[in-house]
Amino acid sequence: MTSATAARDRGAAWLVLGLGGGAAALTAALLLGAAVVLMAAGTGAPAPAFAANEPSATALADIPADYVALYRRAGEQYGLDWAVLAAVGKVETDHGRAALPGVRSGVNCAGAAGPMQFGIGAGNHGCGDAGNAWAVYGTDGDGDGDRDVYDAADAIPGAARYLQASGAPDDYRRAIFAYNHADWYVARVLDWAARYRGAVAGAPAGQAQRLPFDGRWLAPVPGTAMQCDARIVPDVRFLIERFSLRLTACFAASGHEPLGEHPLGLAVDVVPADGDWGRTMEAARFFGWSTDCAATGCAARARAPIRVVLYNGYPGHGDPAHCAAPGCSAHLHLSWSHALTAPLTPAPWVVALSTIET
Amino acid sequence: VARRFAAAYARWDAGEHGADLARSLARTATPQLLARVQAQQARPSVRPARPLRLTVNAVSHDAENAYRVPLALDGPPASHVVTLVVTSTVNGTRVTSVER
Repeated sequence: MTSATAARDRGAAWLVLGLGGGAAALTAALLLGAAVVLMAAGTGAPAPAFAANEPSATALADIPADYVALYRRAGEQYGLDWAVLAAVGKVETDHGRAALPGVRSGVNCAGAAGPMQFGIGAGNHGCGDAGNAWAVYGTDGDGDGDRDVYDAADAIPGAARYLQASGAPDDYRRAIFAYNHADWYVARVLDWAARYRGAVAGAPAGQAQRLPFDGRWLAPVPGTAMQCDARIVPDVRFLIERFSLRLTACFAASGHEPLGEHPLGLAVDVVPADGDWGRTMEAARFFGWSTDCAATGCAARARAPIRVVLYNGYPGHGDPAHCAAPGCSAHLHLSWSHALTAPLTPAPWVVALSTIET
Repeated sequence: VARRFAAAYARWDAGEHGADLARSLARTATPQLLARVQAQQARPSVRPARPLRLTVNAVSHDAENAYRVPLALDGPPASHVVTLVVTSTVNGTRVTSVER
């Protein structure tokens, strides 16, 4: 994105005050590969089926096996990231293992109960009143005929329902804050969720392939007002859903580098959907970005199908700490690999992760 | 103002609710925001809360003559936590809202 475009888009000037050097590092687990399985849609628009993350080694070591199964089942049932559910269980009660009041019986000082610490209307027992969310969101998850707040098989899907009603999966930060009103809590849950996420399920590496131009150049990206080269639309959908990002640019006839990939529909600018710039960092690292190659766009290390990753350390790009005013709009830029072509024309071939059934 | 608010807010967020800290918040926040922050009660969790190490990493000046100040965790992971909205009031410059 050019400076002029950035200034026009934002209408606000950012002044970077400095972020520690360590802030560029992200501890979130990196994934080994990704693939998008596409299904033919009636309109011809591909519909990816997004795979969930497998549990990481940390998750398997830390979470009891029956809890892992319950978190994953509830995540699948309610369309949530199971790792966030598991992280809530970790922070609340260490997956039901904490020897604290209210975990296996009774209530804690705020009237919360069970492995997921639901308020059950017990009132304030000395440190606040957790209310009675269980009355609304409690569920009989295992079909045994009761809704038992102390039974993980009921409490975990109940927590999933509560998070979903509070904004997840669109805004996990808001949903987690609703679960327990503290920013330390949100940060801790997100940290554990990152540790628990392993590789994307069913995602063999190295599936990128060259896709020839088949006569259809630009196609809309569902859920956005943007268009990209049709061959990368499934990848873009995977990208924004997997990393919870918002697309701010794809094809653009002007306002970007004329010889870059935006005029070809083969580049995206993305920002975090919820303001958590750790998400763009995770995506950048996933596609090969690191601090030591940032100044060159990490072209030599970019993971297929991506050609360059423009983020922190590349002029005009990066998070708010690295994209300084005036005229810099914070974002992550990814360009897809492609055959050379003139601006505003479709590339003869494009490298994409996905396969498209038409 | 944002830095002083962030330092006090992080401690309050972690459960330190003393009078001195409330006064620190009151010197940097509007009464309305202070009331909202004080109304937020976190449940205890299995491990004690620790104050977040928040760092002011940028300032933007918007059209309404307010400043938006994103706070991030100091150190990895470098994730955005909240954005403060800071404006000039009759009592001086104050944080008026905390956006997530």
